[in-house]
Amino acid sequence: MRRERKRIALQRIHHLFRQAERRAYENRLDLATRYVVLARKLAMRYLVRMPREYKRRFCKNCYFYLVPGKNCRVRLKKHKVVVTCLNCGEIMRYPYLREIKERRRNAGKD
Amino acid sequence: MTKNFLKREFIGLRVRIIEATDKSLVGLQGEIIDETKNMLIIESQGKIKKVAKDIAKFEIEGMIVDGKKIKYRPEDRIRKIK
Repeated sequence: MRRERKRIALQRIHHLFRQAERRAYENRLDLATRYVVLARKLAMRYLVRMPREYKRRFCKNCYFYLVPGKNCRVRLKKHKVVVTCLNCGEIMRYPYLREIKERRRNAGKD
Repeated sequence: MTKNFLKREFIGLRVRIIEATDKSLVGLQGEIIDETKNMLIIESQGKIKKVAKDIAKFEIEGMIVDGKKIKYRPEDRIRKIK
């Protein structure tokens, strides 16, 4: 039963993000953001992990749906991906150590 | 089958009102753009309509749904519908 609930919740999260993406293209970011909030509520209530592909699609502080070049700034600084939400000013930093290590290994080979 | 449909996400689906205590709402067609505990927010021909769930019977994507049965918060619908 619990597994069934989780399955439905995950399915709904996918559905909501698809709709959010559509709304973002229509320039209706308020609705897109509302869908992000609803998807997060589902994830929290049914203990479903937010799928990886969606983790960076919204601001961690104000849950605004982020569209690079429109309402967020994406830069590479000090070996991190730095995303700035232009709605609330939150700065999110994502390290990419794995890629750096791989590059180092490959550089050694050549 | 029908029970599982009530647990699905309604946002983005097509809706039509079949019955309502307010006769002017009957026949309203559109897309569900938001949902709260007591209301479905429907966009119909560029206009936004807020319809209370418990006063109407809806047809969502061809399925007939009694508004009284979905009177929960959208995230509670998975758990509370028996």
